[in-house]
Amino acid sequence: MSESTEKKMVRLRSSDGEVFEVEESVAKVAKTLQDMLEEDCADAVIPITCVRAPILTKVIDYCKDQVMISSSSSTTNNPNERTEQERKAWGQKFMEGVDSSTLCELLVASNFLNIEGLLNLGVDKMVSMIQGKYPQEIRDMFNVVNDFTPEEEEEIRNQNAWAFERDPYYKKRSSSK
Amino acid sequence: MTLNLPPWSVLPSNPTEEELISSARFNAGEKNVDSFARTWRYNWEVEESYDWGRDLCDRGDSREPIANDILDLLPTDPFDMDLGATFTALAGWFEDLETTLEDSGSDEDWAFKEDYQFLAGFNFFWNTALMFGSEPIERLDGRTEEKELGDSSLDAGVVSVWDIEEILGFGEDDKLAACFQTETPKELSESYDNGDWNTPHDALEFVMNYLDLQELLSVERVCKTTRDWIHRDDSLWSNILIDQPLSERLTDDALVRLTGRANGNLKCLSLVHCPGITDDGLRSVLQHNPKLTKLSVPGCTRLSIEGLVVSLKAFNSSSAPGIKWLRIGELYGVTHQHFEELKLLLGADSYDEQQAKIHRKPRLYPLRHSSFSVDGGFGAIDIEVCPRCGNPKILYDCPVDGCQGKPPASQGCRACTFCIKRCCMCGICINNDSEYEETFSLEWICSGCWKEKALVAGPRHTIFHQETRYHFRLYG
Repeated sequence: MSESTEKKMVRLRSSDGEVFEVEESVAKVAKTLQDMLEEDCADAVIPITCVRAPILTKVIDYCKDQVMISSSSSTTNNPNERTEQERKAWGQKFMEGVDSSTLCELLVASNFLNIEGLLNLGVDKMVSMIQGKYPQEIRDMFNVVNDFTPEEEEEIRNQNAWAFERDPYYKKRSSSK
Repeated sequence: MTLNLPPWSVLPSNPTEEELISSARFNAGEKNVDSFARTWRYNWEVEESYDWGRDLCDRGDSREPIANDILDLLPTDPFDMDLGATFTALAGWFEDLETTLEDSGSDEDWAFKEDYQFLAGFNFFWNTALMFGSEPIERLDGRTEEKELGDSSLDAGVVSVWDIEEILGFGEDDKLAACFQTETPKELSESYDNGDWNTPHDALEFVMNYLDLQELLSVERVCKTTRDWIHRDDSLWSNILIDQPLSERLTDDALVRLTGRANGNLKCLSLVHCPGITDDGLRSVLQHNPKLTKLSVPGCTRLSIEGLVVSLKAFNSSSAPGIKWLRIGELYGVTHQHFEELKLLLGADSYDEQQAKIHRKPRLYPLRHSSFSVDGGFGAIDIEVCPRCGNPKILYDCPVDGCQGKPPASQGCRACTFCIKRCCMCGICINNDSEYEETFSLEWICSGCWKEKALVAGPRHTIFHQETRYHFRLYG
C-alpha cells in the first residue's frame, strides 16, 4: 500500500504496541476515529488502548469491507449495494470461527470505536451462543466465575424454578436431597 | 528449587497430579483445611495458608491456627515477591515440622504427615509453575462448588506463581473470571493494566437487551454481576413476552413475580399459549402494573372472555391510559356484546378501525410468533366480525395472491377458520375440490405440505409452539 496524494494514511496502535497503517477512509468507518480525524486531534499514531492486535486486525477487516461496499456503488454510502441476504451471509461468514473470548473483545472494541454494524454482528452472534444454554454452560463458555454462595444460588434457583424445570443441574440437585 | 523430602514421606519426589489431588481431597475432610481451601479459592490470600502451616510447625502440639500474628510470621514483603526467599522460608518450616514429628511420635503424627503432604504439594506446584511460567495458562476458569478442592488448589498454584503480585492485588474484586483461556500471562497483565480485565462481563452487558426471557433468567444465574444488572435494570422487564417453551410451565405465581421485577413499569405483556394463567392471575398482574398499555393473551386457554372483560373494565377505570391494545387470539366464547364492550374499553372508534383496515397486513394462518408480539399489528384488537358467519372471530387471509384479491372484499378469501378451512402448515384455503389430509387432531393439511413434510428426515426443533405441535401431530 503505497502512500499517494489522494489516499491519506492513518496509523493505529493496538494495546500491545503493534502499529497498523490503514487508509483514512477505512479508519473513518469507526465513528470514534472519524470524530478524532475530523477535529484534527489525532496524533501521528492513534493509540487504541483497549484493543489487542488480533482484534484490531479483525476490526480493520470489517472496516475495509464496509469501505469497499460504499465505494463500489455509484452513490456514496449506499448500504443497499448488497441485498439483505448477501449481507447476512457475509456477516455470518465474518463471524464464523470467532471464539467466545475473541467475540467478547470484539464487542468491547466495536463499542469503544463506535462501529454500529460490527457491534450488531457481535451481539447477534453472542445471543445465538447464549440461546438455550444453562447458567453453567454460559459460565464455561465465557469463563465467568460462579461467585454465588450456595445459599444465594439456591435462592435464585428456587425463585425461577419454573423456568428451569428441565435444567439437568437443577434436577440433579433436587433429587440428591 | 526442590525440597529435600524426608524419608518417611509417601509423596514421590515428582508426584503426579492425581496423587496431589487425592491428598488434598483427604485433607478437605478436616475443618481447618476446609476453611483454608475456601480462603484460597475466593480471596487468594496466600498469607493465611502460610500462617496456618507455620502455626502448626511452630506450636507443634496444637492444631489451632492463630490469626493475629500474621504480620510477624510472614516474610517481610510477600507480594513484591522475592520468591527465592519465600521458598527458603517454606523449606525452613518443613524442617521444623520434621523435627516436631520425630519428637512427638504421638497419634497426631498421622495428621501432620498429611499436612506435610499438603504443603509439599504446594511446593511442587510452585516449582512446576516457575519452570513453565512462560507458557500459556491452561485453565483459569470458574469453578463451581462441586469441584474438588484438589482441582482448585491446582489452579491456584499455577496462577499464583506466574504473576502472584497481580493476582493478589486483584483478589478482592473476585473478577478473576475475566481471564481468557488462550491468553498468556503477558497479555493478561496488559489487559489488566488497561482496565480491561472484565471483558466477558462488559460483553454480556451489551447483549442483555437482546435476550429472550429464558436466556435472561439463565444469565441472571451466572454470577453476581449479571444478577445485579438484571435486577437493577427495570427496562429489561418493561416488555415481557412469554412464549414456548416457558409458556407451558408458567403459573400465576411465577407470572406475578416476574412482572413484579419491572417495579410497576411493565408496559407490554404477551402471554402466548400459557395454559397455566387464570383470570385471577391476570387480574393480579393488572392490579400491580398500572402502566400496562398492551396486552396479548392468545392461546391462554384458562382465561375466560368474561373474566378478561371484567379485569379490563376495572383496570381501565383505575389507571390511565389503561390497555389500548389487545390481542386475544382465538379465545373461546366471544359474543357480540363482549366485542362491543372490548372495543369501547380500548377506545377503538370508527376512525381507528378505518386506519386499521388501510394499514392492515395480511394475517396468515397459522399465526406466527411475531403476530403476538406487541408491535405485531395495527388496530386495537385482533378480532373482527367474520363476513361469512357474522361472529366476532380472528380472520385470516389467504396466502395465494389470486384468492386474496377477489372482489368484493367481503366475499374474498378472508374469514374465520370455521368458515374457511386452512392448511395448518401453509395457511392455504382448503375446499372440497383440493387434495388434503386430516390430521390426528382434526386439523387439515394440504397435499403439498404433507408431501414436503414426509420428505423431511426427522422432526426439526423449532422455537414455535405451533410448529412443534404440528410435528407431534404429524408423526403421532
